[in-house]
Amino acid sequence: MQNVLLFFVRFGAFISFIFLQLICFLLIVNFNKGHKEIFLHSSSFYSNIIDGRFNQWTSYISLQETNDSLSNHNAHLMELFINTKDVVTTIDNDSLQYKLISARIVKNTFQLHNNHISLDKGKIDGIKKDMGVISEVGLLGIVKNVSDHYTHAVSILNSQTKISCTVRPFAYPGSLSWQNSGARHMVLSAIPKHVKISIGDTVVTNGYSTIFPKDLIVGTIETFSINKGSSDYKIIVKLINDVQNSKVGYVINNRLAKEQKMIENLENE
Amino acid sequence: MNSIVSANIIRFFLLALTQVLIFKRIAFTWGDFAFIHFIVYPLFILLLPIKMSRPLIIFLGFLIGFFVDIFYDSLGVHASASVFTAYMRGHVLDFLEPREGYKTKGSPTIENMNINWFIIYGSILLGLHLLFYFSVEAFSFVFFFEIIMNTIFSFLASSMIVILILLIFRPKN
Repeated sequence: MQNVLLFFVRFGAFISFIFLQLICFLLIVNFNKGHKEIFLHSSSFYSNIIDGRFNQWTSYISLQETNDSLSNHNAHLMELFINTKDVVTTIDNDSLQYKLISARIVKNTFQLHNNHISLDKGKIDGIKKDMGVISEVGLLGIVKNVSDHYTHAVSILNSQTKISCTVRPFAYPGSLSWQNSGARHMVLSAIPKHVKISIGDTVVTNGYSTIFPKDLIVGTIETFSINKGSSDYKIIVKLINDVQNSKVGYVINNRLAKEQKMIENLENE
Repeated sequence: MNSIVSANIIRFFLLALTQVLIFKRIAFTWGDFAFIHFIVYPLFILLLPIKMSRPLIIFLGFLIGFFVDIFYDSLGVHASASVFTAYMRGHVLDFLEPREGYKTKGSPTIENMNINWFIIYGSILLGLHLLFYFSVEAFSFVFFFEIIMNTIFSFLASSMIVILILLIFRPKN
């Protein structure tokens, strides 16, 4: 007994240090998303080295593979959905106008003025500049730079974002922008004030650009007001998706984008 | 004896609250340069009485770190760094012990020791705290550059604030 006490007197600080660090480690890994991912990643990495003895960790690896295949499948379904909205015919897989490429989000900022998203697919997978990025519902951003394996996209939560949108039954083009209004809200401007809109109306993309297809749901109208002397509404839109919480992004490859841009540029000359 | 206890309790809450209500919100960024963070609550650990039992100090370090974590939404990160700092405090105190031993029964303040001693003592512990904190925050040495930059610049900024606090309030025990 005396020895135990002596032992504790001598090493008490060290024991409590180790004990509390263990608690901290458990807290960190369980309550912080980024840390958890790194932990799972490196632990699965090491378990590979030890020949997959630990079943629990290796199941995490297969979990990721399943996840990847599921998101690919999902991309395919969304492809069909977007493309059949207007024309209901039998679909030939190669003739689709919009192709979706699923990619995991590896970096996502949302507290800054100009936020960005990084995806883990790039040129090799067919991603090019100025393609749109969406999540299962709602928008995420627009591709800015592409390397071989990675894509850097401007998040919709960026002061430079301008997306052409409209309020559902109408076709009046409005401009959707983000004015540092929090991760769940954006501002839709340039909708003329004679249009009868109401709170709760759906805001959708109008497909005027080559980036996003028509009729993607962006969010709903939370409030709107008219500035004095202005002829337009200032509409606060509540986004349908939570950009902060997105794990997978779908890059939209519009096969006719080049053609549309070319013909529009002809007009300008 | 009582005044030492109450002084430390007050210090706990004042430092933790100023950390989470004021210093958490200060952010200096110039484009990609966002390495300055003000972290002053370790001062609480630095100023605990010298003769206090070390496991208790480590536990108090855990408490203040946990408290700060709740507001930083990073459960465990600050606590881990504080526990580390509190543990290292014992070794730093042994290392810096004057030849005749510590005369004071109170805290290792500037008043009780002297300013040179305190600057060495404080810099070692604050530097260790920040290095450990940013390492745990990144959680992977892939971000080595960020960790080092964060540590260096936050150390300069935080130690300035710590010295200001000490010069203004002049804590005695």
